[in-house]
Amino acid sequence: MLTRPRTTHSVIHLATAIALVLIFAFLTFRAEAATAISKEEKIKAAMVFKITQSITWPQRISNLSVCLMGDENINLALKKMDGKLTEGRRISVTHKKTSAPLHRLCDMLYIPHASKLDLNAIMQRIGNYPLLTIGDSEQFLTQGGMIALIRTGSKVTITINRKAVDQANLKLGNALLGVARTIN
Amino acid sequence: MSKRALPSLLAASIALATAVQAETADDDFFEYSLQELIALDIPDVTSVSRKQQRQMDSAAAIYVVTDEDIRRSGVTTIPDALRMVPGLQVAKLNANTWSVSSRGFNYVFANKLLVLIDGRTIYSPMFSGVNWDVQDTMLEDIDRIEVIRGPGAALWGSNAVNGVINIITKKAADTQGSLISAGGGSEEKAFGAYRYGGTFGSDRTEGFYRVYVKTFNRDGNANADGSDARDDWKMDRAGFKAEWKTDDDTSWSFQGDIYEGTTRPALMIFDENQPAKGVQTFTDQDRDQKGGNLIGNWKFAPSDTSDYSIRAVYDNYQNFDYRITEKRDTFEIEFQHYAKLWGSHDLVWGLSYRGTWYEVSDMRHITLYDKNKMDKHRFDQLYSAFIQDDITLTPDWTLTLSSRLEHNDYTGYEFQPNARIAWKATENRTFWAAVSRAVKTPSVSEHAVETKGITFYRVGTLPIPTMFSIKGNDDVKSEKLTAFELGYRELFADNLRIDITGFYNEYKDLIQYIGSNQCVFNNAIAFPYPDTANPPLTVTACTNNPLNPAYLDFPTTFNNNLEAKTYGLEFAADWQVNEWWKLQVNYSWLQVDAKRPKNGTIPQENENLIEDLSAHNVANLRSSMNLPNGWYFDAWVRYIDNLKNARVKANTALDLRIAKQINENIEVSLVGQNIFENRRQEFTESFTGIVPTQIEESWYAQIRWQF
Repeated sequence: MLTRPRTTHSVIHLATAIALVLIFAFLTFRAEAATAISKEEKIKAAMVFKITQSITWPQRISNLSVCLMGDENINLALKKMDGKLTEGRRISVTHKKTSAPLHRLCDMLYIPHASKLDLNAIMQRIGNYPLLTIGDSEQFLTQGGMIALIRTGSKVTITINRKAVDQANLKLGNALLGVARTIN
Repeated sequence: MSKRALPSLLAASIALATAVQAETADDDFFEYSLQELIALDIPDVTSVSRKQQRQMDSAAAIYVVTDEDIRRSGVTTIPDALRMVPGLQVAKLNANTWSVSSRGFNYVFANKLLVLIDGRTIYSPMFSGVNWDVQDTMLEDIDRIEVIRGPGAALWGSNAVNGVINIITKKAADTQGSLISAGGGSEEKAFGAYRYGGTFGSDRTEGFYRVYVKTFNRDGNANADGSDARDDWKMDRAGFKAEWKTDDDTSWSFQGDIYEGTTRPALMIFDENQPAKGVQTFTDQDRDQKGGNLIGNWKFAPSDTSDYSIRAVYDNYQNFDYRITEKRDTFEIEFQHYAKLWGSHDLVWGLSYRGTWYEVSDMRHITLYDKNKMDKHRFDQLYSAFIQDDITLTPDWTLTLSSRLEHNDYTGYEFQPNARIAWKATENRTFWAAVSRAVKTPSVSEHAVETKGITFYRVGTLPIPTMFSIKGNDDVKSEKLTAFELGYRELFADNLRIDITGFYNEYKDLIQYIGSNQCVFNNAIAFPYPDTANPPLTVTACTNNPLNPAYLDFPTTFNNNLEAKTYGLEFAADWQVNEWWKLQVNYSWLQVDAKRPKNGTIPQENENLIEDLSAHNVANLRSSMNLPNGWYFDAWVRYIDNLKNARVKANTALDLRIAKQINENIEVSLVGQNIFENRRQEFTESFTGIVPTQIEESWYAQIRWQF
């Protein structure tokens, strides 16, 4: 009579322990996933968000579609913009394949350098459509990208490819131009 | 350019002084502006991200001069860069001596201001001020100059009474590659600097270094009649900085400079051994100065919520001056611990020790003595402990309490508490208030230094040289300040920032000059002399021969019998007018009201001296234009009201800079300083023997080449 409840208790303890371990593992995993976003990535994501407030598209936009590519960590930071309001528009952040009709689906596109995507192919697909492209390397700009968020030493700098922006008929605001370096 | 993000060294060290908004682990920066984002420092991923504070939210009157401000203003010296800071008054006495002050007391002995370069104090205790002529580095390597007006004593220690100027050089990681900067012109006869930055160690150690050399040769100012004052200035300098990590949690840095150079200040002296020569003016006495410093930093950050750091500084300074030869060695070590406790407390505490060794000789006009005996050596020590707690009361309210306890050889223990509160009314609107107590402890110059034959009575009507000898007083106490500050900042529409600060300061026990009855010249005879300020009283005068005097000397010493109130307003605005044009304006208003004891024999002059040191109104307007095709055009107009004590009239100066970015790596520029005016007197003073000279219009061309 005394042993049964004990066994039951042991089972309960064991189950509780396993559950706790699982919860702990889950929490740790979550925590890791959360902290895996570096400060640099957070800053870049915040810059992208601020840039959305400083762009005028030639067409009327009610929902701002920000498209992500590749499976880089920064996408996690960028996804946090999803649902935020910018200049009265709701931001939606979605992941797209390179083969998608980007110019119809996206108003902004973030292409991480590390993703090793075929940049030329993407750029050709976009053409001169009013789709703002943001990357994170000098090379991105020379291949026709519009805005690069480049880590320089301990800071993130913003460089604008003026020609590409103008060709796409996009207008940049003063808040952005005031802090960015412009190349032609 | 961003003045708005309170940069990270501030977070690493002074941040502690101000109320800040804590950066939590899940802060996404989405509420930061672009200007703030580009100014954020990315710490090493594993090292602690100590709270990043926005200047917007800080509970102190802070202004940041960025590297871009320095570049685009065309300044060639650190004190000239400080002219753009609201609330500071900068005046040039001769080609290489400045008076830099904050909130009053504008004097070459700017002893109520603490100036640091990478955490190394550059205050000269013997001179009771900063020898700006040897404070330099490659200007391109300066990351920013953070200026906190008002007391910063709780965190920084004594002398941080009216302000702290923190000159912070870039990280070695941010100065990689080669940079040549060279040029020349009318006043900047020739200058050149070369820096190289590289890496060392493995990927894991993340080692970066840079080395630099710099040299310049500057022309002297002009005399009142337009002739060359011959106070030329030459300086050579070299230095390095290295940073690395020994494991994920431990980072190190090591840096140093050496310098050597000559200035030739014109001196006005009276030699007691040659009384017949009267007051002589020397224009050919070289003042050679050399020195060097080493700074080591160690930081161990086992977690995001706790870190430990140690900084050790060694500084050597040698000054071969006609008035005195001074050698000084300073060693300082500081320990600091930061911990985030119970979620809402950011606690920092620390301990520090400083030892200063003096060795003096050739004491012609400046003498060090100990108990009335001339002394060639001296050793001073300073111990201090500080603590600060930053309490996040609610997401919008932050309270900062801090205090410092210090023990020095002159006045014993000093206690300097400070309370600050910041209210973030909206995302882009902050109000703050602060109450602080700070003390200015006497330095060796006020305790144990005697000057003679260099301070002349300028309204003398007598046909013989009339002067003051000034002797330190062993009993002099600390000067005390209670300060009240209120501030408001607002960011409008991301392109207009406004910052307004008001302050009210109450000083007690201010040091003043009073007559003594001890003659200092050899074989001098004392006799009573009618005190014109307080008839029918008399003061002691000394002379060689009362029947046929060759000179008259009024021996003077210090006491703490003066009080003063200062109050003022400081306004700054940055306006990004459009994508290519930025305007920055600031204006400072200052009133000083000194009060001598009612029933003493203290002359009105002592009140006037304090009241008339500073200008009542100072204003700056800077315009920065980014023109097409890589052209840049910058203009800077500055106004300073009259300096009554220095007898300098209100004046307005204009600097212009035009630059062309030829390609990504090469920039050429042409700079005009103090243009459209022949020459201008900015300052005079009568305590150092240094003859004031006049600033001339200056033009120079410069090339900066990065590769």
